[in-house]
Amino acid sequence: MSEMPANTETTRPTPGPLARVLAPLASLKLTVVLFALAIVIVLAGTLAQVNADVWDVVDEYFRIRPNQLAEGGLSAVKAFFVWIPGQIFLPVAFFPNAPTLPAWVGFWFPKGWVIGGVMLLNLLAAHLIRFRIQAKGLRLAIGLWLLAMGFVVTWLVVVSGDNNEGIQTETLISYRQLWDVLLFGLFGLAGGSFWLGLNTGREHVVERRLAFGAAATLMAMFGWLMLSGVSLWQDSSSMRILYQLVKGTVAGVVLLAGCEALFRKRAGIVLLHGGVALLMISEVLVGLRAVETKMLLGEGETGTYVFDTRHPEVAIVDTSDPKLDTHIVVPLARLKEPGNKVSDEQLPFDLEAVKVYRNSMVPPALPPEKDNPATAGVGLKRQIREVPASTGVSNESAVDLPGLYVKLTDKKTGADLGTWLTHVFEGPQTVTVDGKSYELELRFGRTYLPYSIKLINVSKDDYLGTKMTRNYSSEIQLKDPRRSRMTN
Amino acid sequence: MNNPLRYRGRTFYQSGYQRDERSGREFTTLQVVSNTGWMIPYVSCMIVGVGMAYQFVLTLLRFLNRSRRSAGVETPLKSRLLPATAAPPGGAAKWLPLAITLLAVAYVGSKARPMSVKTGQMDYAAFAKLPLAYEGRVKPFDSLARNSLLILSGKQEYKDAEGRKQPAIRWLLDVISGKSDSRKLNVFRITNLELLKILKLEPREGFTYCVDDFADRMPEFVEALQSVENVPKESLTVYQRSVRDLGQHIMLYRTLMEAFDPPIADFPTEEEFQKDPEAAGKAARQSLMQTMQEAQRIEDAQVPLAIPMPEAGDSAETKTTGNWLPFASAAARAYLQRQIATDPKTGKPFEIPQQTVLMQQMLSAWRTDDVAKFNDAVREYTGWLKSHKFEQLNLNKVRFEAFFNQFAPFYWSMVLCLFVFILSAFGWLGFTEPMRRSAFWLMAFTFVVHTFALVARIYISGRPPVTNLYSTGIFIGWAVVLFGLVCEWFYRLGVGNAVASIAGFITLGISHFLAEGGDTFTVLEAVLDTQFWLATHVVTINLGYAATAAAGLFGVYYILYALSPRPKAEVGRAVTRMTYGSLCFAILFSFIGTVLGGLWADDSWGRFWGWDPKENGALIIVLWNCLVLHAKWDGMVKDRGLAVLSALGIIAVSWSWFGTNQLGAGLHAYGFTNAARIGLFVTWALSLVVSGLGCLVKKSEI
Repeated sequence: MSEMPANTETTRPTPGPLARVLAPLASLKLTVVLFALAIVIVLAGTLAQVNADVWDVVDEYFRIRPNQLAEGGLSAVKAFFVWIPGQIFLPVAFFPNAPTLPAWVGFWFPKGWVIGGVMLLNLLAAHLIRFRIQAKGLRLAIGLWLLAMGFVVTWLVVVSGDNNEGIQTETLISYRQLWDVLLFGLFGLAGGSFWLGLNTGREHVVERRLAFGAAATLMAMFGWLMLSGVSLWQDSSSMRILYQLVKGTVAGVVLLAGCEALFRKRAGIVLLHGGVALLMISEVLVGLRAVETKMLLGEGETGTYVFDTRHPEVAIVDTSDPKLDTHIVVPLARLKEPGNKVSDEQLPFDLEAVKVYRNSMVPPALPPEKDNPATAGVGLKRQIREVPASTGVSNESAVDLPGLYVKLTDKKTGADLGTWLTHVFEGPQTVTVDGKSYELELRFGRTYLPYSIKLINVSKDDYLGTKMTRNYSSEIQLKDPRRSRMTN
Repeated sequence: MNNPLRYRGRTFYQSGYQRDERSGREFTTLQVVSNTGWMIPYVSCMIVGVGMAYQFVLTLLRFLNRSRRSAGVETPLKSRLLPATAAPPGGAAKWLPLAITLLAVAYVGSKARPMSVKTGQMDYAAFAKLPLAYEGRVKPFDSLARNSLLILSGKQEYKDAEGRKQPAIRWLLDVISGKSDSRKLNVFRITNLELLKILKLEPREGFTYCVDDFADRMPEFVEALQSVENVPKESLTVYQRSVRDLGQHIMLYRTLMEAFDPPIADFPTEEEFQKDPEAAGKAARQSLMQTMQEAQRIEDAQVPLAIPMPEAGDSAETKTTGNWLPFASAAARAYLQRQIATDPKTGKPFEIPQQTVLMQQMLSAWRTDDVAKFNDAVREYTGWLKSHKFEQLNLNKVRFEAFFNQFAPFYWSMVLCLFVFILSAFGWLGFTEPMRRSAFWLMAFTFVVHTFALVARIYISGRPPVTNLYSTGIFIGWAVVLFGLVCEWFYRLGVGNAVASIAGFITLGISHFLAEGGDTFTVLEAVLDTQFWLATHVVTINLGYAATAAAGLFGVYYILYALSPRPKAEVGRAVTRMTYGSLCFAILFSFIGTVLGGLWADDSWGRFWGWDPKENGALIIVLWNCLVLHAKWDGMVKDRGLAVLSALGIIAVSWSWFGTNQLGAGLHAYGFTNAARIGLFVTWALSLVVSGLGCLVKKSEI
């Protein structure tokens, strides 16, 4: 990278009203302050993970929750800020004997997205004011057209990743061809450096040496890749990533051409800022739209649904129809606090949370203690025991196993149907209301797929002489009513 | 590892594997992600990359054009960079660097001599180059010996009964051949006084003890060990940690012995067979079963596998051990086969594998001090290895690793860095130009050694240079040394020498310290095992760390230089340019590296950015570099401010490099060391003090 062109300081003709309004927002000083704030929130968001689950931290410190915004009033204002307790700045790993600070030690701070949003505005304003289009007439037209094409290509590349219809493996060119193209690109770069060296005056010893040195290095790389039989193109996972990056590069180059026409020398800066903005927008998109789920399959099993360990639900299943089960689900989030009630006309009974465990287990061998809340079902024989919730810095694969004591009441009569133990590792239990049976269970939130997946074989390869995993692989069969099979 | 399946808007990633031990049923966990815009980060990354590259090339071209226009006799770049005082080198400035560098070359060259023994003695040097498979890779016996001894005693050598230093391989041979002397070698380092008291041992010089010293106190030790078993790792006291460590060391020692001690049960003798054939037959069958079971157990126990089995097929049995067997079980199997005499399958007599026989000969010859037999067996076995090639064994590589161990180039680089720094420091006192030139050429030689070592590691491991925390140290050190040398080449002020030598010494020192954990060529977690990402993301992000650290060191130099008695303005400006240049590299590498890391995560489990502590650490470095550069572009800071901010950047680097690992586990975490915590505090304090000094000094001269 290089020095930013110095003409930011040059006097311009009297700024228009827009520029005058935007000037404070476009200030580079604001940029610097925003960077500092961003560092603080990222650091706080890291330290908070010592004692909290990473997803809670992400929601609390970085992302704005739309539902909190919708609440309106003070809540909506609060949605933009986070209360950072001072305690997190004394992590045990660094300060084993740190004192416990009182709860009021801390400060309100804007959330990550807020800072990012202001950064975007700052960036936009700066570009509106300081990065003038330096093209006229034909050049302007070509520039705008190229830029538009760049947007189209970018959009196409992004959309190409989102294949709603079928399996995505086809590429425009084969990996072998792609590899050759890349190799010759390297050769071209080497040639270009050599040409640059030749065209530099003899008196510029250092520059010539630099250029020739670069040419020699690139040439050596090319030679090595060509001759030593490095056949990366046979490695499909590497080539897949390379292919995706090449697609991105194509979009970048077209955009650069447009920027070059419009902004000339500052094209690179405009483009890279654009890329950063796109990245920030992508984080918001992911926060709002992406869904991560899991699927657990034994060999030979067929799965038709995925589950989301971050969103458990209480399910009441009506199995009376032999052809079709009816699942009525209540997100556990609605029964988060003891006393929370859920009543809905679709439900055969009302639910009331008695006790909620974020992370827990039900030891099968331990009989319940005196204070057992359960009055029906398996809860009479076993009891939920609380386990410390997992944190962001602990083992990454740790998943909280929620448990819930739920009190059921008959809708019509108001009769107590008992307090039931439910836990994600406990099977469904039968509740009878008005002579009709329902299955009650707490489970990780399910989403049923419009197709099914059968695990044919899963294997684990170890490193030589150890039991450390080198690789796992699953062979699965995907059955879509609309298509034929495909394996992974 | 992942080749995700994308289907109708969802992406399926391999995420986990479970096996029910009772039923043997296998389960898979798939991560299923629906994320419409998953391609956006890929595009963004390349857009930013293209933009940065364009800006980079443009600046370079502008720079070249500018120098082309300004016609002059002297090359413009040189005239701008070189201080006016630089006279053409002559006299001391010429011969001193030459002499010093030649001396260093000769000395280090003498260390690169392969290990050898005098004729007529046990050729343990040749034995050290023989291969074995352990902890996931094939390596020479020499590596096993050094790493094991390093774990036990903290050193790669030991002192024999006469107090002479001996190479690790001799100790290993003593242990695995079952020589009784091996119990008298002081190789267990126990420094905790409380633990020593339990073992009824007196503190002694070096705190090293032998097996016989504490063998009779084992019951008490086992008791102590049991009491610490259930204490969580984070809350262990110093004493408890020592107990746990000694327990692990004894286990390692036993593993070594077990792997070379055939578990052959007593078989009935000929006489017993004649006396009572039925009972003897029964006893023989029982012994057979017992031996088989023991052999199987050892094979499962992940011990060193010393016997190559090129013909072994790929089956469930060889899943863990591949084409190798531990000597113990190979010898036990050979013994049993000799008992049975004929193969029930083919009806022909069993052929005892020659490699097992030779290994047996070597070990027994070592035990009985039979020089001729030992040397013959080693020679014959080496010949056998050369004539039996198979995929899992690259004999040249194994032999090269033995040489690499013996040479220890990283260690010598570290030592040389120290000398370079001393030369630089003397240069500040006087006799400047000869000292500076000497420091530069010595540093250049050090860099050659360092580079050789890095390339050697790549060759040995077959992987890109950075795979674990140890290798980040040597790689970041290498990159900073390179930055320093390039700056010195252009500016010739002694700054580059100082920065390169300090950075080289500290990073290699950290790595040297980290290497005490044993083998530094560790295997990777399955998800991290992707050459492409190791070669791109990991290398780039570490270059980003290195460039940020280099900028920080230049900043420190600027601040300290400004405090020195008569600072020169042009030197200050040159250091600022170096700082600025490093920062530009830093932002390029750290940004691209961080985004590539995100792309790796996206490709492995469908989450581009997970706000994981290590990711956040990298992000903080990027943000910090952005902050510093934008502050400079805006004119908020001038030269001194840039130096202060860059010096603070060292905090960001050390936080991301070591600090985040300290917070707890996670995919990126490498372990918990108390020393790292203290080191971090010291680094942060120093960095704050220097920055504070930079702020406090009212108006420096430059």
